[in-house]
Amino acid sequence: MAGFDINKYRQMFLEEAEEIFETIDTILLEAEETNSMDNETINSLFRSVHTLKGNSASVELALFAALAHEIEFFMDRLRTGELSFEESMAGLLIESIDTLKEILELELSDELEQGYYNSTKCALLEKLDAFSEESHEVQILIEHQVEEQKDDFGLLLPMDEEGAFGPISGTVEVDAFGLFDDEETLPASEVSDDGFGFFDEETPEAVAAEDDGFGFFDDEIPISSPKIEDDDHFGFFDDIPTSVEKHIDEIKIVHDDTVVEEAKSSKKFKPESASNSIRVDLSKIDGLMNNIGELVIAHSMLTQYTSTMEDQKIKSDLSERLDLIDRHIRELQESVMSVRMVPMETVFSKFPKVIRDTAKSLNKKIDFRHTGESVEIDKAMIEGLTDPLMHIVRNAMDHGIETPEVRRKAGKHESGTLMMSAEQANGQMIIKIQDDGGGINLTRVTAKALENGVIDDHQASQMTKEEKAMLIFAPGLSTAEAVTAISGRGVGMDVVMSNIKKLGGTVKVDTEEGYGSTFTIALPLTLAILDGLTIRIGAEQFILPLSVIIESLNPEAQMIKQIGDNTSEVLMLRNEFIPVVRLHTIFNVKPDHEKLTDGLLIVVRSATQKIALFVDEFMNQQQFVIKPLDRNFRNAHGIGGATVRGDGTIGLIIDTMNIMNKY
Amino acid sequence: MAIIESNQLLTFKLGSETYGIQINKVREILTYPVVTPIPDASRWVKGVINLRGEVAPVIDLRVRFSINNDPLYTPRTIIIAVKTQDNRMIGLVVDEVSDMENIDLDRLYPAPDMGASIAPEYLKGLFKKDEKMIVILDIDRILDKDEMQRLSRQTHEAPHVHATSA
Amino acid sequence: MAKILIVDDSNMLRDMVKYALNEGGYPDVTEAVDGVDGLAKARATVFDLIVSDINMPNMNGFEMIVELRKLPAYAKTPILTLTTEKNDDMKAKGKAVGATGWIVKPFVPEQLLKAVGIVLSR
Repeated sequence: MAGFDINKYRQMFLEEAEEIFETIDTILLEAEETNSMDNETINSLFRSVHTLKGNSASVELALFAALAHEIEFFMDRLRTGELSFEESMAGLLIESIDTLKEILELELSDELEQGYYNSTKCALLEKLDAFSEESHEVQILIEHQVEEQKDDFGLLLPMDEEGAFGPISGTVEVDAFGLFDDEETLPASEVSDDGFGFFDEETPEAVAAEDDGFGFFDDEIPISSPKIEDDDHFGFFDDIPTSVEKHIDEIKIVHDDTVVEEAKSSKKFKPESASNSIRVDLSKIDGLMNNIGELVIAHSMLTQYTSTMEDQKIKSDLSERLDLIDRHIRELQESVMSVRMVPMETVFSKFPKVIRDTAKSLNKKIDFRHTGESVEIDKAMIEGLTDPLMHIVRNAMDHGIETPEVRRKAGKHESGTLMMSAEQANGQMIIKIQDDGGGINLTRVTAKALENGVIDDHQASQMTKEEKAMLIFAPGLSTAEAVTAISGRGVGMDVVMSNIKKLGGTVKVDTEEGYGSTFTIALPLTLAILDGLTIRIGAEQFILPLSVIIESLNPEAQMIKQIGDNTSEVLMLRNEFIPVVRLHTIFNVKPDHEKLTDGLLIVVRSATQKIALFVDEFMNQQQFVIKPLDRNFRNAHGIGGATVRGDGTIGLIIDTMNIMNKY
Repeated sequence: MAIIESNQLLTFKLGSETYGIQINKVREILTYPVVTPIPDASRWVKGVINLRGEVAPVIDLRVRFSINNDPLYTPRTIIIAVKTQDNRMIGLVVDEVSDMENIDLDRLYPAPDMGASIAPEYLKGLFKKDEKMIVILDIDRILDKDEMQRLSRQTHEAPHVHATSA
Repeated sequence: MAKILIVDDSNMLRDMVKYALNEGGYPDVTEAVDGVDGLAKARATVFDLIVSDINMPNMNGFEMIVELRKLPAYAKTPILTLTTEKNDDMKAKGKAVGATGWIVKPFVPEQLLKAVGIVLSR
């Protein structure tokens, strides 16, 4: 199992800690001023410090955690009423929190000296204890509490040699826990006992046997080692190299330029000027986008109104100012969009582990490289993108890259290369996945497509190499002769295509037998805005994404052919047969025109084929702010989303993928 | 912390009966705007509207519960916009909005098996005030995602609704 | 594929749990920031497993579990709690509200995955 990226989490912890400190400070300052503290306030304080303690322990800030624990202990006594609030307490607590902040800063920058820490802590404890010594009765209680606390607050701090976030080891750092760890250095197995447990154990302390279906797992997990042994039950959770370099024979991770630098800089944690970054919920940004959307709509209403004005002077003055507003709105839109963007690294980072595991199970050697991790992508797109990428990668490893023997015989290096790159070009995000494997066997793919009826002999004879390669995206045409556990699982490359389409993107594949394949995915930079064409069918209007449109035409009679029992129509366009889809039938609306020659056909892209959508006419082309459409009320045929139009009404966005699925 | 139930009701008419929704579910009351129909949707889904920038489906409760299967829609038709527990905004078409009522949730009568047009599983209970009887709808149950999907599929399978021409 | 809900008010801990789960082969992970959010999300989607912090604002983990257990869909769903303490009091409370198990913070990915693997296979 890979360790946590401790610096990333320390950064997150720091950001959260700053918020918590702020809360605590506010409470304490108020308490000092009003000279009182009610139960709710005390509870809230306790909770805050408790969170600080627990979370700091998770990012290996042992000394900070131990000090936070002391303060929490003090708060606990306040909370349980064992101590009552006194005038000087608020001041002391403020001082304690300040000490905590100081220790945090020192420990993070690796400048905390044990001696200084010990003396600081002792001084603080002395002051905290002073409150208890006022009555003998309290003192006894405290002693009792101190005893108990050893069990109550067992801080299990990971302390492995490499400093990476490793498993809990038995060696709790003795110095860090002056008060409660003296006799408590538990043997490793005992510590791990309570790493987790289940509440249905008869007694919490009972060591239940494995075969009861629950219990303790200390004997299975060698807790003090950073690696976990493979065992039959958990075979797929097998160990990950703690450092990638160790497995260099299998995978080499090429981080463009920064492998060495990263190793160096990871040693010492430097907070990235935390005060300059805030965490924002994605929904808030969506809210902002909505507001801008409203602004765009209000603007277009005003523009529409202006165009009807009689007075030319006022009309042109107004138009000029409206243009200015338009520019500002666009800038605002871009600024907000940029907030949604995250680096591609977020996506790439999911692959090394998968590739390593897959390579291992396939007995292949694979060298994974990636470039462009700093290229930014809409956060909302990441979820939808990961699956198709994963599928292509698995497919390339399974069917593309050959075994070391085959590669040697072919005169290639025995480890295959899988290259993933991201770049922005022409307002699109381009992601390439390239392998130097055997390429796609076009003869076999074509044969399979013929066999499955995806294409006919005539089509097969007309197809170019590129078109044949694209056949792997046809439904039910999983490339390989053998569907394996790696890339099979009943889903084919058609799912990749449909997932990418859902994101408004396209995929193409270039392949050279013997030399490998390249998958190129082109995506819009954002999911929030769509370039669309408004089309009209009878009284209804719909929006068609520009990205799927190939061409449009007013067909002549001889271009239309009837197929079979005259129920299907196809458009014959330059030797290509394109199925015609009457949108009015799909959407159940009354059209102006029933005859294809009276209306318009728009040829659009799909996974495996083009189709021609029949509409009455098309109207204007513009940008739309995409809004989610409640999927629970419809049967999801042909409609992918919604948008608010210039007049404030809702427009529906056509999903061409879905229309084709119906056929 | 328990989920606090509101004890204020917005009451409205569906046919001749008076129904109520807890006021904390209600976001807005509006008159019938331009509704964009959704192709292929069930008959009781009138379409979608722009509700403060959100795309919200509009459901005719009268059609949904077969109280009136062929209602008229005029610019004066009332829509109550509600927000469900899982934060979906949905518009409900009703006959007329009546009043606000304070109720004591502890003193609700259980929903009867008979008597109301709506099956008891969709009701929170009955409230009697003077001579009036108010049926309190369990709006989260009525608008539950799974329920909606199930009903949409049913409607879709029914041949008379989904007109096919080839 | 198991759908898992993580409930924790700390962004960092949610991320750590999510990371460990993702690495361990559970890609379908949803996050909630407190008991109220967790409950709302659990109502909206049926999860196969819930991993929840106890100490949270608005509605704590135990309160949330009590509410969850009232829902038919969650009568038997495994719910693991993340806890800093592992004392008897916590265990008694956890058992009383109907939680399935506990995981001590700081946790090791292996332990978490092991616990998750076991409750999901039961």
